[in-house]
Amino acid sequence: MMRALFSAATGMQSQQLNIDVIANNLANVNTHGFKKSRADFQDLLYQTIRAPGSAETTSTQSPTGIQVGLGTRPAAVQRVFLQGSFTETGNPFDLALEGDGFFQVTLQNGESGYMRAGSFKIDNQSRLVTSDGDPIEPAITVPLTAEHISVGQDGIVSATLPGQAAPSQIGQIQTVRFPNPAGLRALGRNLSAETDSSGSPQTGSPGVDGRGTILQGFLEQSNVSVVEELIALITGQRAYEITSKAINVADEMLRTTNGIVR
Amino acid sequence: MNGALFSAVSGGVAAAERLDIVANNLANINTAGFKAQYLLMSSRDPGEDTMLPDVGPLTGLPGATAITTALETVTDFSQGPIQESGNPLDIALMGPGFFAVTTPDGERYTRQGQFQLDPEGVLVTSSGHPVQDDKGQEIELPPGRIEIDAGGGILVDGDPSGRLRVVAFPDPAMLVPVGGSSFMKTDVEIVPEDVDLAGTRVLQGSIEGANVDAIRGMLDLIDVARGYEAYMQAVQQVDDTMQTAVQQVGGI
Repeated sequence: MMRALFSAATGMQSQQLNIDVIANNLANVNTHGFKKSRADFQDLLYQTIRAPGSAETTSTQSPTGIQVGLGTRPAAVQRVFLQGSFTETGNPFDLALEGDGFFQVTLQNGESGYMRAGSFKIDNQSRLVTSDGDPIEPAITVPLTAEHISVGQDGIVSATLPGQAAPSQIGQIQTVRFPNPAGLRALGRNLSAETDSSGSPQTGSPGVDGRGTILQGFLEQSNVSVVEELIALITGQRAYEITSKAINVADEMLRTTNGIVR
Repeated sequence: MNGALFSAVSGGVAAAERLDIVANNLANINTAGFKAQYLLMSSRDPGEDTMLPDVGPLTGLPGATAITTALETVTDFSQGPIQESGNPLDIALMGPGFFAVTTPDGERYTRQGQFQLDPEGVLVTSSGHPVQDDKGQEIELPPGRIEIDAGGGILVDGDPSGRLRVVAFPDPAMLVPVGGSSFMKTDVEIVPEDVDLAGTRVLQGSIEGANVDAIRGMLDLIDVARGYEAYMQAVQQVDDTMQTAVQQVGGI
């Protein structure tokens, strides 16, 4: 059968993946700390029908030969870790990261998860936890009687305890950087997990060694730009359409061929 | 056999081959750094010293038939549109040239600058192959904010951390596509020139889109479809003529 049919089909499959990725970005346009993804494509193998440099006539050579590409394939769906914008909430446990890094939390199975969404709460054991109840790592316990809790840019959590005039330090939030954050595995629920490709986490105080600083009372919004996604949606859909036209033409040619023999 | 029949069929075969090329271009319309291909056709007059391609129905055809064949594929290396992405590791080239990439199969050249860092902090392509610096070595970057200037120099938190190798070829026909949005030299002895970056600019936070023209692609599709139809009509005409000859000539 014709190569064109299959090449065009790979184009349609790739665009379908592209649309899937865009749809997920758009669905998460209001998810705090969400990082958009992007599908990157590469051309597939080339079939050499006539090798470059083969004899054209007895005295001339074909300089480039005939090489027919066999379509496209998704090379990567990579997450783009651009900073999202900030919304002020005034809630003392809403923490935004300004710059690189992740909050580290302990998941229910004991493993570590990493997230940008810093909407923390206090659970019944007075621990600082995520909306899902996973405690931040290293754990921070906020005494019940504590007032005026403040989180500094360097992650130091301090509170005024009863009978004390000056605020005292009750813990420090540590953040984590990865050599290749795009290699993290998304777990859903705003969480990511370490992989071989992401490299090992480098834990430390915010604001040190390239780790971003913490901004209290703010949340980081998703970094999805609706306009950009809609444009990508349009180009994706049109690319899908135009490759389907190539399939139409191949089909029509096969029908013509079939019509010849009477 | 009837030469006219084969002349018409050769046109159809060439049209089908052209569709393969057009379909590949269209399938890659959203592939960054993709370069469109075109098929050059040639017609041969009877009596010319022809070597027929070893493809399909034309194999073994006598040289004295006027036919159309696919001559060669050419890659259009013109600049693709630059789209801004804001991602610091998306690096586009404005002007001629290629990034040099080390792969297990040898050096490859690409204009798809959607780079990433591997766990060791080495700058790699989306296939995971290391990108070369101006000395041909891989580029290992310390953690920090990455800035790349128009000359390909890399700064991490303001400290110079290497320079991207951008090379050019005097004749684009020296390169053939190998998939993975990369190209290889047709001959190992070709030495690429380090491009003078005065003419080529390295753009950080941008992606070079495919240089496939959708309108041209649609026109090609129409042209191929109708051309093929016409060739097949001609085949039918020849068939009719032969039928007449077989059934009526000699009859009374």
